[in-house]
Amino acid sequence: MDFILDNFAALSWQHVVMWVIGGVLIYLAIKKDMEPSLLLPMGFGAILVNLPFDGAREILGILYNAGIANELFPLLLFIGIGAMIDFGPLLSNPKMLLFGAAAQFGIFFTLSLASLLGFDLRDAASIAIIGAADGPTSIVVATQLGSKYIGAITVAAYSYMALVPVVQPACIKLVTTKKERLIRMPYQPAQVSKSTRILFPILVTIVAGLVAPASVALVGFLMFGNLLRECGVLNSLSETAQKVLANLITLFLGLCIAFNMRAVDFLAVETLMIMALGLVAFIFDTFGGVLVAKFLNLFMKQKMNPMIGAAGISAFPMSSRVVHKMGLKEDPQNFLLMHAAGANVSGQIASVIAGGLILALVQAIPV
Amino acid sequence: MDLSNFAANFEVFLQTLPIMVKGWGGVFVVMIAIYAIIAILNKTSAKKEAQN
Repeated sequence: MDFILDNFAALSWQHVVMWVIGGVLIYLAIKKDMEPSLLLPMGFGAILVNLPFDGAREILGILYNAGIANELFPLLLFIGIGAMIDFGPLLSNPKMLLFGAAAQFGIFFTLSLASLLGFDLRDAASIAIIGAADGPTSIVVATQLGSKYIGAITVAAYSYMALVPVVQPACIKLVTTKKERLIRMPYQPAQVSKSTRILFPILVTIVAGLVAPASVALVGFLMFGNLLRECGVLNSLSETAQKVLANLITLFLGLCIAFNMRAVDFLAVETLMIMALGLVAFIFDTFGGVLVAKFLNLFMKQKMNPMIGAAGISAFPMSSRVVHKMGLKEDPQNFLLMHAAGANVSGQIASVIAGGLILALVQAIPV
Repeated sequence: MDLSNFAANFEVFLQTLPIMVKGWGGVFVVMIAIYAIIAILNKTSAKKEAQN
């Protein structure tokens, strides 16, 4: 019986706190339906790795080294994500690309703020990329920069992605007037040919590869998935990527991330600061998108509803739905969904480009 | 991480400012390039359809 008592003796209050945190993530996943595919495995994994004597740590370490440390899992997941995305609303209304770019402002603002708060450049950049609102991009950037906060960064990234319906409306209302929110945007999409849909992912990969080589893996895998979807001759592969591959990788991803959620790494002031900075990144992404839309309106005869700018955040499709709902709330005849969807998918591309540029610019500075 | 070492933090902060300009600006440059690609693709396919 002594060995059982030894096991209990090895339990610390920090372990119990991590069980509670794991439990909270599981609760949010199940009861609140917040990104359940990631938060549930992360929550359960947090409990697994915080049991005395690290019984599960070895196998999770094998999975972590096989899929996270070498960035394999997030890149494979991107194939599935690319296969799920319909770029039609963007291709028929390419102005929305500007909002995808604008809504990445939070990343760069948070980079500066995090450095001012004492994080070194690489950790600041890894934290800032939470603002990409994209889990795989956050994991790839944080891993390549060797950040020790990857656990907290991933929890923050996925939690805030799920909190977009809570965070964004308040931010949008803060920087817009009622008159601006009432601006109607009739949807008159240009026709998009099949050849455009096929050439788009190929050409975007080439452009990204030339301008931001560090982003080519992320962009390339995303666009490969999209090409599987659009080519029309690989429907079964496209469906496999969207469902089986995405689900399989997601299943392992959450558990593997928990490898970095041991109490000794996670329970620190830095974790709270990272959570706060992640929120700042999302808030300033929203501000960036909306304010650029308002700026562009100064030069345009046909005004745009500035809320569309907020949809440029990469949290797809939640952000576009938030903007659409806000538009309907102000005016039940104002249908912003397709414009917002165009901005939203553009944000997916922009966030990956931002990740690649951050990697290139930060890695160019010697440690 | 060291909140109290303001001088060192400020030095890192100054390093981030050009990254902010080049990074955010770079995203716009790439997205404008993609805008141009889409415009060319749409125009080319519209021409082909008009010919057909």
